[in-house]
Amino acid sequence: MNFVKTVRQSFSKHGAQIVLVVSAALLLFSFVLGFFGPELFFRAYLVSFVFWVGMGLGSLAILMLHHLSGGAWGAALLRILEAGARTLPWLTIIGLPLYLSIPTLFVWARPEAAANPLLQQKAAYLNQPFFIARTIAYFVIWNGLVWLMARLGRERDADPTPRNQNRLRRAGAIGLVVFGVTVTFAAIDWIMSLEPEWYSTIFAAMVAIGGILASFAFVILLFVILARRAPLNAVSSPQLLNDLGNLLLSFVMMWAYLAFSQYLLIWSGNLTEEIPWYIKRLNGGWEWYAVFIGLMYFVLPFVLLIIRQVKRHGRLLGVVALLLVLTRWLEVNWLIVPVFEPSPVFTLPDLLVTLGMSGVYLVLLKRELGKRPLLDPADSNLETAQEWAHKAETATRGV
Amino acid sequence: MAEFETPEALVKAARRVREEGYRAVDAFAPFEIEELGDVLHARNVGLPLIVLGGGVTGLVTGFALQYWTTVIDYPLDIGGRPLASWPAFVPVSFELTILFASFAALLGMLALNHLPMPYHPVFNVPRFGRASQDRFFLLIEARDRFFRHATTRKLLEELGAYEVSDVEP
Repeated sequence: MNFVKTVRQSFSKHGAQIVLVVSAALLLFSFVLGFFGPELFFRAYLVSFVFWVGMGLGSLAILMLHHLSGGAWGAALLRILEAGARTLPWLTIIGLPLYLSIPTLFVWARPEAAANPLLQQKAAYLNQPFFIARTIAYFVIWNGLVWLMARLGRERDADPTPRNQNRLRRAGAIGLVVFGVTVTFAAIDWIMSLEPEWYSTIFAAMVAIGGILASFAFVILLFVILARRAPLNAVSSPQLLNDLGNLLLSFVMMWAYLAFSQYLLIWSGNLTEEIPWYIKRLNGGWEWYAVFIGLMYFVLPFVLLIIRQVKRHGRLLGVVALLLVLTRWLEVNWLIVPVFEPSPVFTLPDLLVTLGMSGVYLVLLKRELGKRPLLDPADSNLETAQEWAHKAETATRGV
Repeated sequence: MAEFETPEALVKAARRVREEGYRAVDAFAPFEIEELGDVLHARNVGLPLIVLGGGVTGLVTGFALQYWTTVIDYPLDIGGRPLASWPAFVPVSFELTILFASFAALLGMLALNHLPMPYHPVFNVPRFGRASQDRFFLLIEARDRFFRHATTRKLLEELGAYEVSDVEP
């Protein structure tokens, strides 16, 4: 009995360290397995990495969007978004093993590509040195944006003059353009080129919006959890949640629009070089993934987020957000794994990498969240959210 | 009917009047005042359901129209696809959903507001035109069971009304 108590106490004290150690151990064990079965390991690693890097990049994109557009919703989420963006330097390190994965995962990087005339013509773009150089460039640019937004943000917080506010806004505007271009190429390189004979102009936008959607859902989930206590409860109100729900709904609709547009165009065209992508993903059991993703990433959240009572209720909105985050994991699997497997499988490396990387990421995110106070009560951008929260509180107390 | 100079005064007056027990109360302002809805206990009058109904009707109409034309009335083999190819039906069904929902929203709003209405007594108050410019009006109808001409007028005056006028039917 005493032993259990001691364990529980030490866990609540050192919870983050324990999770970190356990998940790092799981990841290391999956590295060992990787020596025996590189393909299983690397593709599991790619799936988890695409999932979590989407969370980091999504936070950065939404942060820049908020600085560009303003609004109470973003002011209340500011610190969570900043912490999410600051995980990108860590993700840069977590992604390092993937540089070794290229000949294992990508057909165009293997010797047999020499016999394929189509891949020979694409070799000027799809070759290892250029591919690695591009990937390094993406991460340099993304980390640069994180650094810039963090620096300008701190300057604005210390000295909230209109001039500092405008610099932040300008950086957000330019940053979003740079972000759009780099994320497009990154998605083409690391996901679309797994099947180098296939191409779709919508694909990168679909992946990026899917990632931003999941990231926004994740941030809302964190906000709903954190806002049950001080200090974030001072800015949480049904009205704010309503705004967050509406914005989430618009991301859901945008993702559905892009995903369906790609399907409709390829289905209508019915061309032999385009349809194999869907044939793989709609057969052998993968069709249930497709149906489930369609229902859980669009239909159900769409219906729920239209209902006002759901949007204004913290816990219900949190459930919808959690559903979207979990479905994103299935979607990333559905995008990547059918390249290698005719039917859905779940292997030991999948389990180890998923748990390991998620644990490491969440601990790092918690660390970044702890670096700055979750709320700066003096921030004038928070006035609207504070006013809403104050009114909601007086209304429930019946004053 | 009482005229106020600021939205805050109007909200305060509306809240007080509700507390006094008046129920047949309405307010007029040149822009939306979110609190007023809560203070006056504005009810959900079912417009969302009308819009939803319009949307569903549009969806069914759009899908049925295409199904009927391509499968029943004029079956045509297009690239060897099944006659009932749902992906091709989505855009038109979607457009009709939006169209019917918009019509339902507009017409439902007009119907629930009893518009168009060529005559309404409030316009007999000459200054009421300023409700669409810079003044805020609170109306207590004579049919309210707490309505007593003198006391009601006095209450509104105490609440800081700029002018209190009687609305002739």
